[in-house]
Parts: sequence; C-alpha cells; structure tokens
Amino acid sequence: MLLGGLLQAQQVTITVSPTTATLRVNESRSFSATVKNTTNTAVRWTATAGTISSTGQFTAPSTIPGGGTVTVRATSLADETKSAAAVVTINNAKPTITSLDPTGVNTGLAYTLRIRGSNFLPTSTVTLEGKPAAPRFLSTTELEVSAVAENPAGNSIDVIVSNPDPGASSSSVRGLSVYAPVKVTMSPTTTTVRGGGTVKFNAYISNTSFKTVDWFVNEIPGGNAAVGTVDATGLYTAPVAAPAAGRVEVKVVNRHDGRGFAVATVNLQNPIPVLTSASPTAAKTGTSPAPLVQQSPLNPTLTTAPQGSGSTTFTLNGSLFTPSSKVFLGSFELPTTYVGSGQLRATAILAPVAGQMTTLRVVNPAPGGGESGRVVVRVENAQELMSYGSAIRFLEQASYGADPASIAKVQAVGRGAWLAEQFRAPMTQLPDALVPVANGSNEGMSRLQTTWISNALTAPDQLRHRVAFALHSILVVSAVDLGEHRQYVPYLRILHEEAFGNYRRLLERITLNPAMGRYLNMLNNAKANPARNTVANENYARELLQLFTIGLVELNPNGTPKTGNPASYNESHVSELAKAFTGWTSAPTNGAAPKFRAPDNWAEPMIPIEAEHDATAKAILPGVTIPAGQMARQDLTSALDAIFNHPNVGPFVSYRLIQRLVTSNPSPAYVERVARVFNSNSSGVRGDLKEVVEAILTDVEAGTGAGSYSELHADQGSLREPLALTLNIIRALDMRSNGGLASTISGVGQNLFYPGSVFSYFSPFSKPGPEFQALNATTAMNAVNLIYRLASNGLGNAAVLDLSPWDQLATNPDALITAAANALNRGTLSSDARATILQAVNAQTSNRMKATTALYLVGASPQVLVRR
Amino acid sequence: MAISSARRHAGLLASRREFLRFGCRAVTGLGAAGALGQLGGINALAQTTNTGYKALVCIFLFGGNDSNDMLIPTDDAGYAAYSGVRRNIAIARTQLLSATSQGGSTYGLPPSMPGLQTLFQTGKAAAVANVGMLVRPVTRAEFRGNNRQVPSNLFSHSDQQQQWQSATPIGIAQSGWAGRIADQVLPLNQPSQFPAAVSVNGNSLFLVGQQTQPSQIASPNIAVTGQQNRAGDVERLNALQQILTLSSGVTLVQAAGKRINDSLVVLRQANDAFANLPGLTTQFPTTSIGNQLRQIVRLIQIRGAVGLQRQIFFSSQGGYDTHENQPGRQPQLLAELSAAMLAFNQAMDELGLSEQVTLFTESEFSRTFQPNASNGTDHAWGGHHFVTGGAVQSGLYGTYPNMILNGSDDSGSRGNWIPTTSLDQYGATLAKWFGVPDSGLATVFPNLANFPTADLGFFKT
Repeated sequence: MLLGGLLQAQQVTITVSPTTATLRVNESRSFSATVKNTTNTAVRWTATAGTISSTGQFTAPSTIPGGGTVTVRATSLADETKSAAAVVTINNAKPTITSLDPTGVNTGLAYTLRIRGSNFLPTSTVTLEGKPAAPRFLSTTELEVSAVAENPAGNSIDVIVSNPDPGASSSSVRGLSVYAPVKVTMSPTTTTVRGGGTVKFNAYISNTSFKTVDWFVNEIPGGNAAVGTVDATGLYTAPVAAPAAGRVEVKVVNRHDGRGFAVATVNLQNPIPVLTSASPTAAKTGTSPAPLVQQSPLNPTLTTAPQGSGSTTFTLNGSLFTPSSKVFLGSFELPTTYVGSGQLRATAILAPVAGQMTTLRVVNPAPGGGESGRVVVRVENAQELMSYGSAIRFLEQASYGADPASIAKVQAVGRGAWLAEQFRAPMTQLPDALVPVANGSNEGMSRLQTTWISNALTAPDQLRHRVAFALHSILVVSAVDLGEHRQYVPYLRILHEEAFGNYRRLLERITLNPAMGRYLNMLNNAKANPARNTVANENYARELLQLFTIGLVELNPNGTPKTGNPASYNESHVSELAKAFTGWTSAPTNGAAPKFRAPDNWAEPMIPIEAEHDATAKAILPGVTIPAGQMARQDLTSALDAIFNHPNVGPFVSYRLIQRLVTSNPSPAYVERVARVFNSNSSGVRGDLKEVVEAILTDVEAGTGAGSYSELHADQGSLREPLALTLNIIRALDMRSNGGLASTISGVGQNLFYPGSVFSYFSPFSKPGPEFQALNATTAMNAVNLIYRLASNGLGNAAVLDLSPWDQLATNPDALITAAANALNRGTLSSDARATILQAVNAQTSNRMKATTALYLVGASPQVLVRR
Repeated sequence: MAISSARRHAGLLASRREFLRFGCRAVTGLGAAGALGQLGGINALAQTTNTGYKALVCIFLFGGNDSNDMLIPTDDAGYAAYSGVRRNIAIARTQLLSATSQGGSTYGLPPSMPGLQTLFQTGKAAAVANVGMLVRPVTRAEFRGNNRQVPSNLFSHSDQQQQWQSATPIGIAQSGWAGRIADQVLPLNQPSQFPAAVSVNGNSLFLVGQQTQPSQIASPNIAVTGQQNRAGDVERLNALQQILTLSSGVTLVQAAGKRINDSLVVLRQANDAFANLPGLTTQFPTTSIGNQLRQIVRLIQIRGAVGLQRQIFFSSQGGYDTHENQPGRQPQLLAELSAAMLAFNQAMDELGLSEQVTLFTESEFSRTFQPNASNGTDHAWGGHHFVTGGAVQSGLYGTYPNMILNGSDDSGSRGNWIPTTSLDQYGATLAKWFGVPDSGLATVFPNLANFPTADLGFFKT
C-alpha cells in the first residue's frame, strides 16, 4: 500500500464483502468493508431497509421491501466519496408450527383446526396429509383450516404450513391425531320411575375433548310436559301421567360428534294417587226409575242408563291424579273427569249399597299406578217415607230379608204401597219334575230345596214366599215321609197359590192334596170294616183339629185359653170326624176308571169313592153333627165348614202366623186385632189371608209404623229360624247364591221341608220362643260357624260374598263396623258391642280379616240372631 | 294357668294342637270357670274312683210306639186275644222271640228284636207293662164318667211328649223329670260345671231342671270355625263370647246369647276331653239311634275328665206314628232300636260299667189295639217299655192289660189301654236306683204319692 502510494498518490479504495447476499426477513448477517490506501479504514454502514450496525451487522427488514432487495453500503470515512455496496435479496420467513388445536380429530368428521406457530403469512398455505387446504390467516401466529378427517382412526394427519416465494419454505410436519368417532355412554340405561318422580342420568364421553352434550326426551330437546323434562345435568323429571306407550327414551348426544350418543329407556309408571279429601261424604241414592250404577257386586258392570235422576258429583282432592285416574265407589268404577293432577270429579246416580257405607278412592292404572287411601261415603236412600231401621224391620217380617234395593224400595214407597205391589205380584212357579232319576226311583227333594231357596232369595214375590212358608209351618207335610219332588211340589204349590187366598179354600185344597193325604192318612182311608175289625184312620181328623184349625183348648178371641182350659173337643169327636174323611183315594190317571186304592197320582186332588165312605151321622164337634146319608164331598164340605167356623180358628191361625212373621210372644191384644180381621175382613169375609197378613204386618206391635223408628219392648222379637237367619244375612249383604244351602241350614236346626213331624219345625208353645226349641249346643255352634262362613266367603257358590267393598271400608274400622251394623242390625249397635268388635277388628292383620271379623261379630251377636 | 294345672290334675295329656289353637287367652275367656270347676270335681272323683258313678240313658220313641206289637203274649190265651183283634196286621206266633213271663203268661218279642232277646237271655232286660201318664189310678168307668182327674190332652203327640218328659200331666211344665233328678243328685256332681244332663239329639224338656241346664252334644267334634292360629283369631273368639254375654235387657236376645255362649264353653270342654278317648271294640250300628248311643258312650267315657259322677242322657228315635202300614214300618224301627240297645249294653260291659248305667225307653203313648183302615193304628195311651243294664233284675213288671176291646182296661172302644202303672212309678224306680233320696222323689214326681208303690222292683237289690 505504501509502495503504491509512493508510486502514485494512491487513491482510497473501498470494497464490501460479500457483495450479494440473501436473507429472510428479520434475518441478520454481517458485512465487512475493506478500505485501502488509507490509514483511516473506518466506514459508515447504511442500508436501504432493515437495519445495520456500525460494525456491518445487517438485519433484514420484517417485510420484503419493494424490489425485493436491500442495498447495504459502506462509505469510507477517509474519503467519503468512496463507498461500496452489497445487494441483499430479502426472502419470506420460514413458517413454524408450535401447536395444533385440537390436537386430534375424529375420523370422518369435518373439523376446523387452529394452527399455532410463527411466520405465518396471509399467503401461507397449509397441506393436510399432502392435500392443500385453504387456511384462513388469523395472524402471523395463527392459521385456521377446515377439512374432513378422512383418515381412519389411528392414522394422524400431517399438517404443514408453507410460505411462498421469495424464499419459499415449509414448516416441519406436525401430526394431527385421528381418533375414532366420539363415544357416549350413559347410566342408567333402563330405569323405572313413577309419575312426578325424577331420575339422574350420567353421560360418559370419550374420543374427544369436546365434552358438551345435549339431552333429549323422545327426541325433543329437553323434553316437555307430556314426556317429561331433562335438564343440562341429565336430571329427568317424569310427567305425572305416563304417556300411552308407558315409556320414554332419554337421549344424550355429543354436541361435537352427533355420532356420539346414548339412549336410556325410562319405564314410566303412573304415580300412586294421594286422596286428601272428597265431597260430599254423604249422598243420596238416585231416584227411580233406575240407578245408574247397577249394584251387582259380583258382576260389576257399570251401566250408564240415561234415565233416572238425582246424580251425585263427587269432587276428589289430592295429588298425583292423571287423566287415566279412575274414581271408584266401593267396587264400582265411576265415570271420571280429570280436572288436574290435584282434582278429579266423578258423577253417578247412586244405587243403594249394603250397609249404606261405601268408599271413594282413586286408582291410577298400570303401568305402576295404585290406589289412594279411602274416603268413606254414606249413601242414604233418596226417599224416606219410612226410616231405614223400620224398613229393614218390615222387610225381615215381610220378605226373606232386607237387601239394599228392597230397603230403598220400601223407604221410597212405604209399607202400604209395597204390600199392595206384593199382593199383585205374579207367583214364581215351582218346577214340575216327573223325570225319574238314573236309578229308576223318582227325583228327591234336593233340587226343590235348592230352587225354593234360590227363589226365596231373589224372586220378586217375596211376601208370598214368606207367607207360604209360614203356612207350610202350620199345615205340615214333611218330606221325611213324602220325600219325592213329584209328591211335594203340588202341596207346596197350593201354599204359594193360596198364600193370599182364603183359609177355608186353603184347608180344602190341603185336605185333598194327595201328599197330605198320604202324610196324615186320609188317602185311602176306608170306612170301618167289621170283618177286618178296622175303623177309620183318625190321623188327619186329629191333626186337622189340633194343629191346623182349632187346637185342644177353647180360646178367647185374643188367643188365650178360656178359663179352666176347656177342651175344644174329645176323643169321640176325633173318631167321628175321621169317618167324615173316609172314602178318598188318588184321582185316576190315563183315563182309568176311578177306584179305591188307585195308583198314586200326586198332581191332582184326591177323589171320593162312595163305597168306602162312611155315610153314617157323625158328631164331629161339640154341637155339630153331620147328618147321615151325605156323600163324601158333602161330608167334607160340612166338616170343613164347621171346623172353619169354629171361633178358635181366627185366634189360632193368627197367633201362629204372627209368630212366623213378626214375634214369638205376641200380646193377646195383637192376636185379637188380627183375629178380628180373620173373622171378618173389610168386606165381611172370614178367613181372608191377604187382609190377615196385612193386619199382622201393619199392626203397631210389628214396630214398623211410618215415621221414626221405634224400639220394641223387651219381650218382643223372634229368634230367627235358621232358614230366615241364613237368607236374611245373604240378602242383607247382597250376596249371590245358587240356592244350595239346605244342608247348611239343616245343620243350624231346620231341615227345609223335613220338619220332624206334623208338629212342625218348632212348637208354637216353646219358651222363650218357638225357635229356641232348635237352638242347642250343636246348632248354636253351627249357627255361629255359619255366620263365619258367610262372612268369610266360605260356602262356595251357595253364598258368594263380594268382600272387596268391605275390604275398602276396613281401612276405617269405625266405618266398617257401622256399615256391618247398618246391613245386619238395622243400623243399631250398642256402644259395648261396638267397642268389643272394634278391639277384635283392630287385632286383625289384613283388611280382609278385619272385614270378615266385623261382619262375623255383628252377625253372630245375639241382637242379630233375634229378629226384632 | 288354671287350665294347665287342671289338666295335670286330670291326668290328661293337654292337646298341644288344641292349646295352640285357642291360646292361653282364649282358654281364659272360654273356660276358666269350667277349668277351675274341673279341678275340684276331679279330686272328688279321684277319691271315689268309679264306684260312685251312675248314668241313666233314655231313648224316647217319638210318634207313639205301638207296644202291642212289641211285647206280645205267647201263651195260647194271650196270643188268641192278640191275634183276634190285630187280625191282618198280627205278627205270626211262630215268629215271636221268647222273652219273659209273669205268672202263667209268657211274652215274646217281634222277630225284629233279637238284640233285646239277647238282653233278656243274659238277664239284663226288664219289661214294664202298660205304663202311661196318670194323675192317679183311674178305672174305665171313672174315665168315661169323667169324674177323676186325668192328664190333659191325652192322645195328642205334643202334649203327651211333654208330659212323658216332665211327669206333669196337667198344666204347662217348666222342667223335666230327668232334670229334676239331676237337681237332686247335684251334690254328687259338684263342683263340675259340665252339664250332667245331655241330649244327643235335639232339645228336650226331659233334661231341664230347676238348677240343671242341659246341653246338646250330638257329635264328637264341633268347634268354632275361623280359629286357625292366625294373628287376631283369639281376639275374635274372645270378642264373640263377650258379645254373646253383653247385657241387652231384651229377653230373647239375652236368652239366645246365653245359650250360645254356654254351648261354646261346653263344647270346648267336651272336645278337649274327646280328643284323648280310647276307641271301643264294640261296634255300633250306623243308624241314627246307633250313632246317638255311640255318642252317649263317648260322653260317659269323659265322665272323669269333666268331673261328673252322675249323668243323664236323652236320645230319641222317630217315626213310630204308624197310622198306616204298620207291618211295613214298625219292624224296621224296632230292629234298629234293638240292635242299638244291645250294642250299648255290650259297650258298657266293655267299659266295666254295666251295673252303673241303665238304659230305658219312653214314648208318648202306645197305639190302639184295634187297627184302622190303613193297616195302621191310632193314638192310644198306656204302653210297654224296656229297662236294660247290669243292675236290672230281668223280668216283666207291672200289669199286662186285659186285651179286650171295651173291656176294663180300655178307655174307649179300640183298646186304648188305661195305664196300669204310672210314669211316676216307672221314673221313681229309676230315680231311686240313681241315688235320689226318698225325700226327693216327691219333688221329682209330684203325683207319686197317688200310687201304691214308688218302686216297681226292676233293679237288683
């Protein structure tokens, strides 16, 4: 240098190294300058863009300048005219990826990926698994790209960001995980919940970080009132009323991947309704013509007859009622109106109910469902011309018992109108039976007993049955001797036909009835035969006088024996009367000629054969002589006229009918009042049983006068004969029967149609009452056991009791006992008895046994065993 | 507990089943009095063992048994008198079973009664002739003249049944003569609460006394239904008994309640006792009367358990009202009667009680000696009866009637025999054997003094 300077005035020279360079934006590099020919080698660095330090360290600008290059210049400070420059080409920066959000996606699912990193440019491109995607430039550090994850699960997607020229470059590869589709499970998957109840579901989400789920009920977001609701936490609340299907599906869906969902089945059960109150709690039955609820407990069909009036609308308050809730009255479903989950209404025209007590309850149907508690309702008869107690007392005297419908009827129309209707009622026919049974003998009594009992329980002509049986108990033919259907029915039919007829006509028909003829030996009774040393059979003559008409002792008009007990007749009269009844035999059959000792003909009255009739004069009663020479029928007429007109007959028959129908120990005045009617009815006719029966049943001593119900004096009443006891209870409890009760009743001391002798089932003179004659340890135990069996449905089809309404009442023992007393004891029960029964009822462990116990103890109480 | 100590004293094995069924409280409710009563009675019995025991057993032949065809003269004169009136219903002489004699007359049984013949042959049967209701002895002339007192309503079934049972020939009876006998021997039975007088077939006035309340126990096993050892069963039974005995002030109600409750108590005692009875070798016919006498044997077998030294029983047989076809009907009845009476006596032999139990018949009346037009007979008056047992002195007692229509013994024209021995005498003889003191006989039979003797002598002395 020195040498050159020496040679010439050497000029300062300056060079820059390098003279070209390429840098990415923001990159740096150093440049150096060489100055010669001077000792002052200092330079000044300048750049057209970017920055450069005094030492030549150049930093490229952050963006590419116009022209794409930057000139870096070094100027000699020794000679500022001297400078050198380098051209720096500026390239785009190289992108980098620092993270992906999300880090994974689900296969097959469209996704939006946020790529975080640096050096991103609006012109940056993205390739996903080698395929270009169109990123959205958010910033130099964020790109967003949407795509569909086509890779199968387990294969990641390569993500690359590339910057273009100048200096195009790409980031390194970043893998985006590919997952299986989102999976959602839930628990529980099946469950059962009652209406109004809740159940909490939990959802478990996998294969995604997007945990957000949506809940549906039957595909309805969040559900609704009909199907129930579900909240964001999975808490399901069932609707009060189950939808028809009985179940819903609760679904949870991953909001990110709809393929991720789970479904649970919720079996919806109806709630158990809660009944808190009802009104009214006392109601009246409907009025005629027909109650809407047909009371037939064993065939509980609800008929909605348009006729009838006097409906009752019950309002029931509580909760958890549903549109399918049903209101039950006792055993009967009522047409129910759903007002809301807290109220129902039910309307019915009420029928009379046994015991006058029933219950309202609400039943929700299956699925689930159940019964509410009970509200007791008293059902009184709408019309009360007679009191309830009087009506029952009257019916127990005039029918085979007070069933609810009969009570309503009597209360509605009164005693007189009921009697008038009964007197007009057509007679229920008894079956003829001439069909021999298999073994060749003739049919026995079983079917007749069953049929008669069935009729006595259900036939409309109740009073006729009652009176006919009373007459049977006086004018006895016993099946002990006449035990064939064909023998017995014609006899019994006479009693039914003449129940409201005239006693004189009845006597004649009974006298000529062949069963009576056989029983008391008037059939084929021949006149005296000296050759055989026989005389007329006295049997019928004796019992006709003693048991059917006059009795042994002369009576006052009030039925009491005359002073000194004067005999009404003596042995001679019996023998003579026997002659009057000679000559009678069976009517001919099949056109045969009449003859004495003809073959049996049970269906037709006996006929006379004059050759066997004793036509001599006969002193048949004190002061009565039948003249000689009369024919058999004339003698019969003369004898029956004389007997019928004996002054004893009125009080004699009246006393016995009063005993059978009303009371065991009638006052003489009662007997006299009735006997007066017997002696002369309203038309002056003697022996009119219709008016006699009416007089008996409407007498003040019968205790059934209109208006309030009166207690009787201490000595009145009758121990119920076993037949009446059994039938009374069956009717009072509205039971169903096939009539097959004869053997049961027999065990209690009365073998139906088989009285032990012509003295009947009981002696009218037995004390303290006729029926006590048959009450002994065995029959007493059987009676008590009979009532237990009735009250526990223990008699099969012979007596079927629907205990279900009583079960309902049993939830309220007081009401249960009241109902039992209403049904069985005219609504009366002493406080002592009630307390005793209540204690026993409360000791029972089931409603059924409570019901049975209440009915049993009321039924077996001596107040019920005695008809009063 | 009262019941368990009573059972221990009684030497009974308490039936666990029964005890469980009723439970302690039920026992208290049902039978505490009875159980306590048993205790003393059993102790008394233990002191005397069987030596003091006696029983009377009545068979009542309802309907009026025609005893003319039950005890029939077999000697020439007697049979001729019989067959001359009976004619076509007469039993053939060759068929008659020889039975007994009195004086020069012999008597036989109908062929239907071989069992009774056996009893006569073994010295265990006596016949008493022509017994009937009387107020006092009466002759035909007196009767037809209506100038002596005679029983009211002769020839009426119901009245004569009541009179035969009550020994009350006039008026309404409130008690029966067996009931009054039981009253008389009451001290022997104290303090047992078990009824000393029991019917096995229906109620009867016969057993009703002033103090004696009869019962009716027709079957060995009648119990309260619904007692199944469930919760509440005992309470129900107790409530039933309380209700039965509540005071109502109503006559019939009180009467019914008492009778039923008494029945429950008695049957409970009886069933407990029956439960442990040994069987019998003796076979009884399975007829109604056979079954009844078999049940009476059971009731005798429990005498120790229930603490009784004197028992009276009433049984009955119906169907004797043979107005028609008597030859077709009466033999069957008598055959059943005879077979049952024989079985009963055999059972007493088996039990070693033959001399302590006496079986006898009653019937409301006999029947007309003259038949009627229907091959039957009609209501009459005096009739023959049998008394059987080991204590009986075999033979014929009383006076057989003079079998002549319109004769001295005929109250009418058809052979309605005026009794030659009164029911009072017949019954008093039984009562005296049974232990009724002479001083008590007039209480039992108020008209007894009207007759010549109170003891017909048909018991061994």
